[in-house]
Amino acid sequence: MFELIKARLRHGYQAIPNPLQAQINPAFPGCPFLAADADLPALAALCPTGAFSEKGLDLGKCTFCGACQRKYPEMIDFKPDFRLASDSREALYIAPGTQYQARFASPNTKLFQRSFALRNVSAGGCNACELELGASTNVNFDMGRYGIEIVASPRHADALILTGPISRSMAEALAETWKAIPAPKCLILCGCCAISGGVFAPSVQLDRSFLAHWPASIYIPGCPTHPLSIVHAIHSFMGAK
Amino acid sequence: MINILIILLLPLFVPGLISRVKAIMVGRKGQSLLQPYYHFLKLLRKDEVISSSASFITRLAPSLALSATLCAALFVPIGLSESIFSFRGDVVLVLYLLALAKGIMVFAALDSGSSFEGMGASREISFTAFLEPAFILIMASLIFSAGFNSLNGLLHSYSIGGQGVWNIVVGAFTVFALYLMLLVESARVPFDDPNTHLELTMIHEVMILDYSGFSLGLIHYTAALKMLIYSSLIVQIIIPQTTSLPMLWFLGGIISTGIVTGILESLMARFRMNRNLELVLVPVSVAVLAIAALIAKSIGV
Amino acid sequence: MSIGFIILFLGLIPALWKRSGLFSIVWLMGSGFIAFEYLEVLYSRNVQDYLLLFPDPIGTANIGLNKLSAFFGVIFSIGLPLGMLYGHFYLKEHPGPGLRSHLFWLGLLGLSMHGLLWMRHSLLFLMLWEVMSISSFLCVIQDRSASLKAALNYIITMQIGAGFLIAGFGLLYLQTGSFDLSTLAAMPRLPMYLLMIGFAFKAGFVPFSSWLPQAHPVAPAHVSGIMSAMMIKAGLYGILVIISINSFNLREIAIFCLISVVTAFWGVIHAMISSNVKKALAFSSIENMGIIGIGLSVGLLGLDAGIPMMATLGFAGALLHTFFHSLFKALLFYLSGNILCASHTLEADQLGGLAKAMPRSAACFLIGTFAISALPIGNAFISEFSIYTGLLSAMAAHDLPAIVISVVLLAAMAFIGALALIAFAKLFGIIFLGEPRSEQATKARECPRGMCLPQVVLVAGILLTGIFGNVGLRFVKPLLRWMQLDMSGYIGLRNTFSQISIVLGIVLLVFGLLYLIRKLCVKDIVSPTWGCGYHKPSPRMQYTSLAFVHPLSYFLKPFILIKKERIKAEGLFAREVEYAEHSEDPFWKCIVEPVSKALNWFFGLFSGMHNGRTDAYIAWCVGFLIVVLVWVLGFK
Repeated sequence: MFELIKARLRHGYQAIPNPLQAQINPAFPGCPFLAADADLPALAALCPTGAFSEKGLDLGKCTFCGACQRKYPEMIDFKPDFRLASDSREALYIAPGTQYQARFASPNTKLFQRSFALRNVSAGGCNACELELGASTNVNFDMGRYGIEIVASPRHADALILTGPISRSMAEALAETWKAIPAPKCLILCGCCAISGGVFAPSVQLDRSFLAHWPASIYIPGCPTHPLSIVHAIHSFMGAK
Repeated sequence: MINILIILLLPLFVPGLISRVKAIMVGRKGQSLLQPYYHFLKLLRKDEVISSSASFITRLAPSLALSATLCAALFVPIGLSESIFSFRGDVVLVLYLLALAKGIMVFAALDSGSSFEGMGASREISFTAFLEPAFILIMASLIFSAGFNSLNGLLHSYSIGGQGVWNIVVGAFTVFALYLMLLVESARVPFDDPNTHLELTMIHEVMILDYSGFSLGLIHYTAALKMLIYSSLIVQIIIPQTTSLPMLWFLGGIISTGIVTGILESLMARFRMNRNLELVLVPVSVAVLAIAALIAKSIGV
Repeated sequence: MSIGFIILFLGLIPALWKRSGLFSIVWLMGSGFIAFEYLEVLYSRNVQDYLLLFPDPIGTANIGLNKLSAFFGVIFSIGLPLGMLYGHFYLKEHPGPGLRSHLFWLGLLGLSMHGLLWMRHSLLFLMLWEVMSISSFLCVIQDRSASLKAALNYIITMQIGAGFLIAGFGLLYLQTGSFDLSTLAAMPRLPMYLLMIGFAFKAGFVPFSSWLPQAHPVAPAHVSGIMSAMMIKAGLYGILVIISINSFNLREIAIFCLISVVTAFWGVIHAMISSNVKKALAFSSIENMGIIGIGLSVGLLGLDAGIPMMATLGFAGALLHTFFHSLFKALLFYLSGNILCASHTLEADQLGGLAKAMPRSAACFLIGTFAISALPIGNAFISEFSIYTGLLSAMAAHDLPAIVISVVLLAAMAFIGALALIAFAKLFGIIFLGEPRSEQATKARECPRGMCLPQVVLVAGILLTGIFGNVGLRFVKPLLRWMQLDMSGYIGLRNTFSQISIVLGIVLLVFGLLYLIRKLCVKDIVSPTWGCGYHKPSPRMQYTSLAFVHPLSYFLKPFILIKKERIKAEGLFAREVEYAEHSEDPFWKCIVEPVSKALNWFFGLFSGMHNGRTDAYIAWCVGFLIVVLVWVLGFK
C-alpha cells in the first residue's frame, strides 16, 4: 500500500494536459502534404496499397509507410500532425497542393456530447490499432476525461469501433455485435485496414459487405492510429465545447 | 422535501467522486465529477436491445428494483432533516425492500440465459446470506443502546460522540461493519471490481451485461442510490447529536466516504473470489462483537 | 355445524361416481357454510358445544369449537375447496388410475381435518387423527408404482407419531382421569412432551420431518398442496392447543427455540440444494414450520420475560405465518402441478425458459416466490415482520436471557430468510427463466385456464394479505385476545401495517410509473443474448440449480449431502467425461435407510420359516403352544 503511494509520488502527474493541442515528436509521420506538381502516376506505382489516384492521396488507404517520401521527398511530406480523422470517406482524399483539414460536420445529435461508450471489435486486426486504442484510455492520453469509455458489453455501448480489415470469419461476429448495440449508435473505423482493407485489401479472405450496409460516422486513418488521433477524432465527433 | 431532492439528485454524485479520486490517485486528469449524470441522461434517451431469451422479468426488473430502493431511501434520514417515513421496526422493511431490489435483479440476470450472468447472479445473491444477519444485528445493537425506535429515531438518538468510551467502541464497530456492507453491496473493490465486466470479478457488473439504454440508466441510478443509503447510515452514526450545521456534516460525511472508498480502491487489490464469501462474515462477527460489548456494558463487566 | 358437514359428507357421493367437478363444487359450497360457522365463533362470543353420548369406553363426548380451532377451520375451509378444485383440473390433465377411490379418500381427508377441530375428546381426536393419516396416505398413492415406497415411509412415520400421541393421551387419562380436553387447565409434563413430539411428527419438525421430502414429490400436485399447506397445520394446531393451556419455563422455551431454529435451518438449506421442485417445496414447508416455531417461541419468551409487546408480536407473527403459509405453499404446489402437466418433469435442471411458454403460471410463481422468500408485496413478509419486531422490541427491554436468545433468533431469522430467497430465486430462475434445457421443456405449453383459476384466487389472496397486512391481522385478533395477550402491541402493529401498506403502495406506484414510461417511450429491439462473440450458445451452458447455490453449499458443506458422479477423463483423447451432482437428504440416507435396512435384515433371518409348507406351519404353532404352556405352568 505504501509502495503504491510512494510510486505515485515519484511518478507525479502523468496525464497530457490537453491531448487536442498536444505537441508531437517531429519524427512522427502524420498528416501528409502533397505538392501541387506531384507526379501522381509515379507515386501510385510506388505505393503498396494504391493510395494514390487522380483525386490525390487517399488517407484511408495510406499506411504511412513513407516509401513515397523517401523516394520523392520534394513531392510529399508527412507532417507531425495527428489530426487526421474525418467524418466522411470523401474527405479523406488529399488533392495535390491542398492543406488537409480534419473535417467534422456539426453532430446531428447532442446525445453523445458528454458521454460516449465504445465497444471495440477487432475483425482480423494485427493488434496494433487495438493496442493504440487501449493506450488512449491509459494514464497519459486519458480519453476518459472527455467522458469517452470503452465498455465490455455492446449493450452498454453507443458506438462500435472497428479495427482490422474484417476477415471472413469475423464478419458474422461483427454483424452480431453491431446488432447488439442499442440505437442511436454509430460506427467508427479505426485504422487503414478498417477503412479500406489496407495491405489486405486484395485478399479473398476478407468480407467487407458489412460496411456497405452501415456507413461509418468517423474515419480515423493511421497504421496504426496514434492515440492522439483517436482522442481528437472522437472528441471532435462528440462536438462538445 | 429537501430529503426527496437529495434522494433524487445526490446519488450519482458519489460514483463520480470515487472515480475522480481514483483518477487523481493514479495521476490521470479523470472525468468530470458530473460524468455519471451525463451518462445517466444519455442512457435515458437511448433505445433498448432486449435478449430473445428474455421474458417479462427483464422488462419489469429495473423499474421494480429502483422503486423498491427509492422507498427504502425514504426511511433513511438523508440530509439534514428527519426521514420521510418512520415507524418502529422500519429497519426490517428497509432491509427487505433492498432484498426485493436485489432479488428481482437476480431474476433478470437469470432471464438472459447467459452463463456469465448466472454466475454473477449466484455470487450476488450468496452475499445476502451474510449481509442480512449483519444488518439486522447492527440494528439490534443500536436498539439495545437507544431503545426500540424507528431507523430515523435510532440514528438521531445514537452517536459515536455520545456518553463514554463504550459508545465509541460500539460506534466504531458499527461504522466498520456498515462500511464493509457498503463495499459489498455497492460492488466495490475488495469484493468486486466495478471496472471489469467480463474478467475475474463478475458480480454486480456482469449481471447487467444484457441491459441497455433506459433500463441500464435505471440500474446505474439504483446502484448509486443504494450506496448513498449505506453512506448516509454511516454518516448519521458519526454526526454528533447536537450540531449547528447538520447539512454540512452530512455532505462532508458523504464526500469523505466517497474519498475513502476511492483511495481504498486505488490501493487495494480485489480479494480472491472464492474466499470472498468468508470475508462477508466479517461484518456479521463485528456486529456480534458490538452486541457483546453492549451486553457486557449493561451487566457491568 | 350440521349443514356444512352434511354437504361435505354428500360430497362423497359424486366422488364415488367419479364426478370430480361436482365433487369440488360440493366442497366449495360446504366449505362456505362451514366457514360461516367458524367465522361466527371467531368473531362472536357464543361458542356452541354439543354433547354426544357414545357407548362406554368413550362415554360423553364434548364436541365444539373454540377460537383456536375456528382459526384453523377458516384456513382449512379456504384452502381445501381450492385444492379440490385444482385437483379436478389436474386429474383431467394428468389422469391416473383409481379416480373413484382417490376422490373418496380425498373427501375423507378433508372431512377428518375439519372434524379434528371439533373434537374435545381425546379418543375421538385420535380416531380422526388416524383417519386423516390413513386417508392422506391413500391419496398419496394414487399412482401406485412410483409412490408406494415413499408413501409407506410416510404412513409408518405417521404411525410412530400417532404412537406418541396415544402414549401421551393415555398418560393424560391416567393422571387426570378424563378424556375431556376442554376442561384441562394445565398438563403434567411427561404427557405434554409426548404429545408435543407426536404433533411434531405431523407438523414436520426436525428430526421428525424426513417423510415430507419423500412423500410430496410422488403425490399428485393437489394432494401435496393440501397436505403441505393444510394437513401439517393439524400438527401445528395440536402444538398450539398445548401451548395455549400450559405455561413454560425458560429452559423449555430455549429447547423449543433451538428445535425451531434447527428445523428452519435444516429445511431451508435442503430446499436450497434440491433440484426437484416438489422436494424443494416440501423442504421449504419444514422451514416455514420452523419459522412458525420461532414465532411461537418469541411469544413464549415474551410471556416468560414479562415483555408483553414481544409476546403479542411473536404470537401474531406465528399465527399470521400459519395462515399465509397455507396460501403461498398451496399456490406453489399447484404450480408444480402445472409444470408437471406442461413438461412432464419436476427436475429443475431439465426445465428452463418456461416463462415465455407459460406466462400465466410464471407470473403466479413469481408472486409465490415473493411470498415464500418474505419479500415485500408477498405476505410472508408481513408475518416475519411481526416476528422481527417482536425480537427487536426484546432488544430494548433489559432482560438478559431474552436478549441473548433474541440476538440468536434475529441472526437465524435473517440468515434463514436470505437462504430462502436464494432457494426460491434458484427455483424460479432455473425453471422459468433463461432457455429450455431439454426437449420436454421446449415443448411445454400453458395449461388450460381452469387450472389457473384456483391459483389466481390464491395469488389475489397473497397480494391482498401481503399489501394490506391489516387484513391478516384482523383475522388473528380474536385469537390474540383469547390468549389474553397485551392488545397495545396489537394496536401498534396495526398502525405499522397500515404504514407498510402506504409504502408498498408507493413502491407499486413508482414501479408502475417507471414501467409505463419505459413502455411508452423506449423502443425495444430483440436480439440474441450477448454471448461475448460466441456463436454457438447452447442451453447447456446455463447455470444449473446446484451451480447456482454452489458458493453457499460449499460453505454449508457439513450440513448437507451432495453425491458426486463422475467419469474421469482417461487417455490422451478422452471419449467420455461426465460430472454430475445430486443432493440427498441426510436423514433419509443416514437414519431412515440404515434403520429400515437393519429391520429388513433382522426379519430376513426368519424368512426361512416362511417356506409355504402346511406341516411346517403346524409345527411352528405347536412349538409356540408348548412354549406358552411351559411359561404359564412354570409361573403357576
